[in-house]
Amino acid sequence: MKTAITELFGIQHPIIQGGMHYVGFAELAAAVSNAGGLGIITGLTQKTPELLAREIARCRGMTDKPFGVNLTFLPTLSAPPYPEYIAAIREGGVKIVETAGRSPEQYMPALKAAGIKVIHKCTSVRHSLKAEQIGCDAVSVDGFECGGHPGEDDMPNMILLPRAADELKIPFVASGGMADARSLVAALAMGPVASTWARASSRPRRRRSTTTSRRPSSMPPNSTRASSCARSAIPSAC
Amino acid sequence: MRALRNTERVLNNKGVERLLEKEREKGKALKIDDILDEVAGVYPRVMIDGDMDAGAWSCGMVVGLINDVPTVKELIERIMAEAEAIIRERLAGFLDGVPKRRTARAVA
Repeated sequence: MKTAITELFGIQHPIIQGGMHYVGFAELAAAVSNAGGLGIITGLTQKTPELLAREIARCRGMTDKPFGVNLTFLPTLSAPPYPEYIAAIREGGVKIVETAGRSPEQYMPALKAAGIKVIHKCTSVRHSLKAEQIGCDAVSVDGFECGGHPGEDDMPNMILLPRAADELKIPFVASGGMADARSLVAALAMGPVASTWARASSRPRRRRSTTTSRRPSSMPPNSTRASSCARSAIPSAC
Repeated sequence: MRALRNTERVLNNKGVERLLEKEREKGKALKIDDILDEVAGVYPRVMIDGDMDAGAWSCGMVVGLINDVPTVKELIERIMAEAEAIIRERLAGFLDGVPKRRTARAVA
């Protein structure tokens, strides 16, 4: 299936993994990219820019397909050093960044100078238009169904997606409530050209026997569990 | 956390119940410090240690549509195969006037 998003990001299928806190590790991102979607490493799950650089390198070791990094600008208890995170992304050769939370406007020059394609996650048409205006390559339109931070407008995708389609010139992706083929086809019918899936297992990882590895290293990239029972599925940290 | 303009959809658990109780008590006067126990450092405890009641962690309505635990590869291949079947068979079938008794779910 070819859409503006598969062309923009150089991926096979119009499916993007959402940025999920403590789920978007290199294993999951590589598994999604290897399966033809776009995997995303959650930037701020890595506590420092140095750790993010290592995570990017680990992902690179598991896939030769494109993958991205999510950078979320939310009110946090201690503000992360965003310019250093962007430097780690640039130096790691990552060409796709999903931004979320606040407007990425102040970081756009640095991202664009590095040749990075920016997809910004928005919960309203007004924020989407702003993202288009500041030079984002695409937006991810996040309906009220979504987990995490759905914004303050409470607009579900059935209304939000067609409204976004009426206004936006850049390609956009449907996020929130995206579960299966029906979600994808419905989204394509309403205007988006891809869907962000954020269903990943939170099944407890095996307790590590050493302190050096957070994840079982025996798990090959394409065996990472993609979804799970209702109780443990989690959405994007939008 | 609407009082903080940081609304978050989460899966309900004991930590979230405590947070909601504090929200009800404090109303608009709620401060982030009031709910630190329920929101700070929750993710590693849930995702890595498996402590599902640790506090508020993001979770969307899509959980109601998840029924199994395939690998990423299986999931994406299934979605794309079913999407093609929905478009080619189910949607085209409406135009062709071929009644489809199967639901969209059954195209798998």
